[in-house]
Amino acid sequence: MSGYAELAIASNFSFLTGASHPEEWVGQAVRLGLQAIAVTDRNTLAGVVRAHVAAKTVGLRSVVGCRLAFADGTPEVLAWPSDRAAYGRLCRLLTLGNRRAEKGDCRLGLDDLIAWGEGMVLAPLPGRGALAGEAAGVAATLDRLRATFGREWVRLAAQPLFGPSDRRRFAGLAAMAETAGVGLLAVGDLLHHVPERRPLADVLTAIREGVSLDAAGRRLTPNAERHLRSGEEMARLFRDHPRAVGESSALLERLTFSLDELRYEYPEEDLEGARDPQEALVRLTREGALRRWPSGVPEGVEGALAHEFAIIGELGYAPYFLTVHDIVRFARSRGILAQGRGSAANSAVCYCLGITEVDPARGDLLFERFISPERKEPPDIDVDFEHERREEVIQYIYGKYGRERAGLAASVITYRSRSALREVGRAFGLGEDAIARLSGTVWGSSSKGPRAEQAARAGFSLEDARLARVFALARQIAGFPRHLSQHVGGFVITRGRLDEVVPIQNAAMEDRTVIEWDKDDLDALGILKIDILALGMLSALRKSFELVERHYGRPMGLSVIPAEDPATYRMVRRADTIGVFQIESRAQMTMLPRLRPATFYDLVIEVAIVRPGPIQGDMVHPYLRRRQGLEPVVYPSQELEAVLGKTLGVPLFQEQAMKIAIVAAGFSPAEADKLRRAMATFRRVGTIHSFQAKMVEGMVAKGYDRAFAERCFRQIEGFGEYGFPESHAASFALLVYASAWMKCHYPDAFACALVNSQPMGFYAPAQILRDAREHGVAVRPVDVNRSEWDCTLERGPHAADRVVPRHGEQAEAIWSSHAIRLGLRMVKGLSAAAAERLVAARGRGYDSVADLAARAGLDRAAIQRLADADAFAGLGLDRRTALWAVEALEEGRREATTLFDFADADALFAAEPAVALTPMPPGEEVIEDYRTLSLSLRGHPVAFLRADLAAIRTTRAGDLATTRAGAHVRVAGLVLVRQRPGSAKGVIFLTLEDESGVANVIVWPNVFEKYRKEVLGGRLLVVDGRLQSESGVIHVVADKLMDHTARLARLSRAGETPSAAMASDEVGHPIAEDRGRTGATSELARLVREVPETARDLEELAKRAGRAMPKGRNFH
Amino acid sequence: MSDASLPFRRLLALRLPRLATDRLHRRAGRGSSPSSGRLAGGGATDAPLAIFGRVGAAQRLEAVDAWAEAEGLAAGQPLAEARARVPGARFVERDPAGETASLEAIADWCDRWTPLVALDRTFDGEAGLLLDVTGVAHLFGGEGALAEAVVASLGRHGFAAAAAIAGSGAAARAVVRHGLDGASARVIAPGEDVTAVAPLPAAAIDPDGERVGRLMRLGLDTVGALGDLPRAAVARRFGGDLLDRLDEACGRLERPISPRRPVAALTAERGFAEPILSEGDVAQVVHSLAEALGESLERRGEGLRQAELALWRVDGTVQRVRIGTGRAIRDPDLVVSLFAERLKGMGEAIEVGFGIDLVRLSLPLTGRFEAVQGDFSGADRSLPAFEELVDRLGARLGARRITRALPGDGHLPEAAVALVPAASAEGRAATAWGFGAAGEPPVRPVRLFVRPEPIETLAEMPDGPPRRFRWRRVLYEVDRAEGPERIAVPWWRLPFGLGPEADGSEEDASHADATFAPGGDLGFGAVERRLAPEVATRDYFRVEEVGGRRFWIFRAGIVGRETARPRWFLHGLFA
Repeated sequence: MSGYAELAIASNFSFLTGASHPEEWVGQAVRLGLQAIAVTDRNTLAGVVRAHVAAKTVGLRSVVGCRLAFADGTPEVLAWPSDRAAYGRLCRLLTLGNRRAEKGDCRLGLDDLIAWGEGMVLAPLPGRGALAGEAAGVAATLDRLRATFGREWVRLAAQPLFGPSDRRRFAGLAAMAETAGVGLLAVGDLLHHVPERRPLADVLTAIREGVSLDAAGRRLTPNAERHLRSGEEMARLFRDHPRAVGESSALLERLTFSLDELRYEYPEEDLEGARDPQEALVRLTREGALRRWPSGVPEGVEGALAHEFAIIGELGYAPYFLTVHDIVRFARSRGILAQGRGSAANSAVCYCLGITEVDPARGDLLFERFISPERKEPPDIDVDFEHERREEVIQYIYGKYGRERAGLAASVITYRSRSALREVGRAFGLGEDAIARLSGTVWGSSSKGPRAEQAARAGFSLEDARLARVFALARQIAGFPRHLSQHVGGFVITRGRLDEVVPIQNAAMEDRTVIEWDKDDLDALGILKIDILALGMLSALRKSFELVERHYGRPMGLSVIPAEDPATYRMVRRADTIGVFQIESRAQMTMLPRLRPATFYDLVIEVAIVRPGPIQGDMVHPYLRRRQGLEPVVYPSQELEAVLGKTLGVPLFQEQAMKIAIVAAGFSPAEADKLRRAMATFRRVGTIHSFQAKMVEGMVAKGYDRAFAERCFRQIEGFGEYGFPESHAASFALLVYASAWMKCHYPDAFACALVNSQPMGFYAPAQILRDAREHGVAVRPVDVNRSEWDCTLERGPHAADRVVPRHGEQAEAIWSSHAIRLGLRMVKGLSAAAAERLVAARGRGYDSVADLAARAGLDRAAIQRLADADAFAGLGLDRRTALWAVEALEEGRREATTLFDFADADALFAAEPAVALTPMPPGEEVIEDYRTLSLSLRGHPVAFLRADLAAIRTTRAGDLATTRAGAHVRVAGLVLVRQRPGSAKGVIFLTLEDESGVANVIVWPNVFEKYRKEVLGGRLLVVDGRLQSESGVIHVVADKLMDHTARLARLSRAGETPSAAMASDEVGHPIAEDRGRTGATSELARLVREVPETARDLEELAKRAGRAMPKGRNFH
Repeated sequence: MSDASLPFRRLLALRLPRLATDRLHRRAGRGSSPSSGRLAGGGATDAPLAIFGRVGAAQRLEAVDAWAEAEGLAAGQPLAEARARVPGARFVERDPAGETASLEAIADWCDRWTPLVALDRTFDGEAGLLLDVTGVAHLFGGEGALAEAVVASLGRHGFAAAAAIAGSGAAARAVVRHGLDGASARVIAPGEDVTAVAPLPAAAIDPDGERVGRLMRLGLDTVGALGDLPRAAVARRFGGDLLDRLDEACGRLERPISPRRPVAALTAERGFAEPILSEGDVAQVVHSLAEALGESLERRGEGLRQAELALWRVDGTVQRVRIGTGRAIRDPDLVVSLFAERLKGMGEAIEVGFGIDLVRLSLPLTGRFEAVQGDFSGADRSLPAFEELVDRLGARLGARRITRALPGDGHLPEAAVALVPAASAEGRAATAWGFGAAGEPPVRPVRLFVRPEPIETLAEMPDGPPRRFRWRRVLYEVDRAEGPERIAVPWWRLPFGLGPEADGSEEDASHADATFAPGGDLGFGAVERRLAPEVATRDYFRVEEVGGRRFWIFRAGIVGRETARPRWFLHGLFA
């Protein structure tokens, strides 16, 4: 017997059909002693790389294949490419089907297969129903395929069904194959790797069909037989047709294609006269070096360049640098700010090419962190672009390379605990209410699946068989891919056709195309990707530069900003950093007064230190103590002093961790990098223990304390995923410094630009503008006669004279002399198009509501929004008067009317008797401001309640600073931010705002349970608690919370509470550019446990994990 | 009613602010202890109750009971938020049809005060009734007493209610929603409507929430303030209908209330000066009414599908009986007999009491009448006969109890047949029993045993057919066999642990690790527990013994995976 290869397997990349991971199929195939397997998902190759990688690890042969399903009634056909060329055609075929269809679908016809099927072994697979009805179609397909490709390329697949008459069916198929003159091929047509997965397959069917298990009837599998079988089993089932089983292994000789054959080829760039890419790169780098150092390249950099050139040359990476260089050059030519981040900043070449901005002369770069000759993986250059203009760059790439050569990497969206519970619960017929309650018991979004104990704690009985099954199956389905989405910005660009490397699909977004593989797949195959990322701060900086140039006549740019400006550091030390890149969050602000940054390098440390990596490695405390002189700076050894000197003996950066391994444990640089990467992916590689032993023993052998060695190792573990490389921190620190400098000297331009770049960053316009006003900048209301779409600057008072006392020491550094005029973009619900029409038709100004209606041609709803936002105040019309006038306008009138109509409208107005409306009370005006603009320049709503609040003895937030620590206080304010790190044990952090400032409130879980309603539902809270103060950071630890939202409602006659409008919970826009880089929820939970004082301020981390909680709803 | 020219009308607006929750409490309370204490005041059960509805994908609370309100829940809150705030509360999805039914039942019940009862749907999502109580208040001790009585008696039935009486429906409605000042009933004296309504918020007269919001923002927060404005200015800005609403509330404009009961397609009635007193008379009247209606139906080419018989007794009660038919009919005899069957089926009789003075037959639903032409023998009338049988049996026994066997959607042979009501659309549909392919032997037996019968066998391992078997003490030699057809039980209905679910042991291993993990073998303990045939996977064989008889037998349990010693059963007989 010659063995068996299973060639028809649906992995779970046949979404909602296959019930096992590709890796599970491989494992089971090895256990059963199969010769090879082919994962053949339905019209996709999304799962083949995983199968390939897993098979390689265990030494199994994996065949690439696909199950083609047709839209024209053709029976399904299994296709396996025999060589690279045929594989390319398969990719083209699938791309063709994908591009024709909606996202996620693939429309193919038999003619397409005829056109592209050369070099593939093709096997029609009759369906699982009665053969009789299908026989004609199968026979016809067989004939057509054989006639086109020849009999040696065609087989008829037969699968055991365990139906009433399998042997009769096999005989029929054999006869059909005989007639067609092709061979019969035994396949499994499998859904799950072991019989025990049948329930999951059934649940997937129910989910797919949108019905409950009970209602799914015969759409479910009749038995558990679609599992992998050994060759002996197959031989027994096909005992009447032994050759059909042997055919599977015979085919292996023909199907020689392996994904290893995919050679990544860099796109060719214009070499501008150079002989080869390397020469072009050297020339460009040299030119760049001359610009960077007009007086000569420093010696150390010269050495680094030579080192890098050698490695780049050896590995042939030059074209890649040229491609990135070209993209960055394009962006610069359009005036789009761009800056490389991540490990690329370790490269002197990248600096010279202008891809990164971190001066290699300043630091000591570890190029191996970026490119390692031992690591057969392509370098990874991530470049940030202005978030509002990144699309231009993306379309440039598509335009230059074409959609056949460029595509975005996919990102595989998988089931998480909650989605798993929800969908499995539905399949089991649980009611929506029960499902909501169930998934409500699950905290976090783990991919490991829901834990039943959580539900048990919430009062669900797991004795109930149905519930127990829901949990068991939800745990199985968690981590299953649901669909492919697009990676945030990872581009794959190839020299040849990309659609012959991997199938390409349409993305959900217009004008985007996505390949079927994600970044891990690409990594595994050594295919290069360039991350084209979006960064809001770059947009804001460019806008603020433009404002300063226009209004102050001072040329601006990232490189123009003076270095090491003392006033800027003074401001940073005061934690006066609202709006500043990276260091604006509470976590960062808490750290600033302790770290007391005085130089650029301190900012680099600041950026790197508030990260899970250092926190997990327990490095923050020692560093702070040393920094504050509370602890002597000592080094474990002489050799490590060189490594850890700049960080006072405490490793804070990835590179340092690696260098410890190199210097103290005798690793090679490439080994050290492997170690770091092993940490990140240790589960897949499974080599962590050998590294741990090697490192710890290596260090002990060199005389280090074992405990220290183990701590170092733990730290690398944390760094693996969550630490910053120094180079990356340095790239970010450049933007920290630039934005801090702008805020320090031009708070008007800075705030204006920030508001115009929304949504981005951490704070909502209300907080940004409030901060600007506190720094003396006048902010003027929206005005139909003065406002543009964006906020603008207009001549105003000198800000330095108007700074509030709290920021008094900052005054002399402030050069602003302009006021911010709020733009029409602030008016909720007003479209940019409407605003443009208004501005275009403004002429010498509008003199009435009717005038504006007639000339700007806006519809009434738009004008009403303007009136609601009090934008007619400049005309002397208060809100109600303006609204009264708007109400008189004809509904839906859009077009500018003729002069005649005009006169008519006037006549009507004249005819109407004047109506005296009751003036709006001031408190209500403020509420209306918040409702329509999300902020008010008149005052703070809480100010109108001050008398009431004083009567119940509340302390103003601004007075907390002068209150004794440990005192019992009562504070009141609007809830700005509510959040809870993803752990059931987590504390809740509330930020309350009143007219004097913000109060930070901590709610411990036991208090939370008691005041759940208040914490979650209140817009205006009164909190009793104890004041805690540490290094100038003040918190109120809550004992009791009271919901006083009703007081707010009374301010407004309409009874509206400034709910979402007021709470800048809206800041919760996750920053897309950095999502996914930060730790998972469980890491946050660990953070909370281990370093409480940092943990108190997790806004930023939590937000990045996409978990800020608008209105306190979806915060768990 | 003798006096047709009353100088003014009087209307009672009834508001049932917690109908959605009260009806659920009432239903729950009825089962256990229908003590009035438990149901009083709008209901009280163990957990706060809130009703939610969905608009698109969003789920929001739409009604809350008193307990939920005390916990801070209110209509309009997002469901998720409410859940987080009050985890112990019960959240039930809105049942608009059920609420309407409840409201209609209450409306019927309000017949006792006045026959003119209308469902009040002016304010969307709020349950209310309008009762025309013109000239009836004196029967109940005056308007104040009447209003109190209505509220109190509804309260006794578990419905929180409030009532107001005024000169127009709009004024009464405005007062009952916004002008009660904590009382449960209020009467606006004739002529006082305008002064009563003036201080109320605009929302009291205008159901258009968006418009009310606009009015509020302009500071026009009372009906009075609105009334003070120039009418043209109001009409221009807010539409003429707002003025209409204002005028209605001030009694300047009258809108008739619309009768509650739907108007039937066809109705015939006969009144009697002398009340009829015998059941036989009633049957005759029904027959003649059916005959009269039959003519109308014939003209329309239709037949009746539903009919309602209403009998007004002289004591003021109304008896209503309803029938439905599977196909359109006209035959008056048939109609009479269907009503008779219906009454018998309900264990009722026509209660003549002191006599009946009005009989009405109405046809809420009619359908195309399809004449069936008989053949010469006049024998083949099977279809109508069958339908007639279904109708008659249904009228007598309840339509749901007359069922038909249809192919079921399930793999298990037991589940391959389903009984559905013969009168339902599904039961009426022609259905094919598409089993097996043409030219091949049937895959299912003609006769399936309810209980598979154990047999002794000698069979090939692991999944071969038996060579011989003993059934009911007779030994059969198997000549030919086909199979196995493997059918597993619906695992999700088994007790947990008996199903083939994979264990949770993979919980902390990533799927990549599973590559190296041992397979999901089940322990031997589990194997033994699964021996019960109702739990085990079955391998069915169609066998033919040497004598030519054919059987459907199965092996319970997959050897090696589920059991070491499978048992055998005979489950059916082929012809």
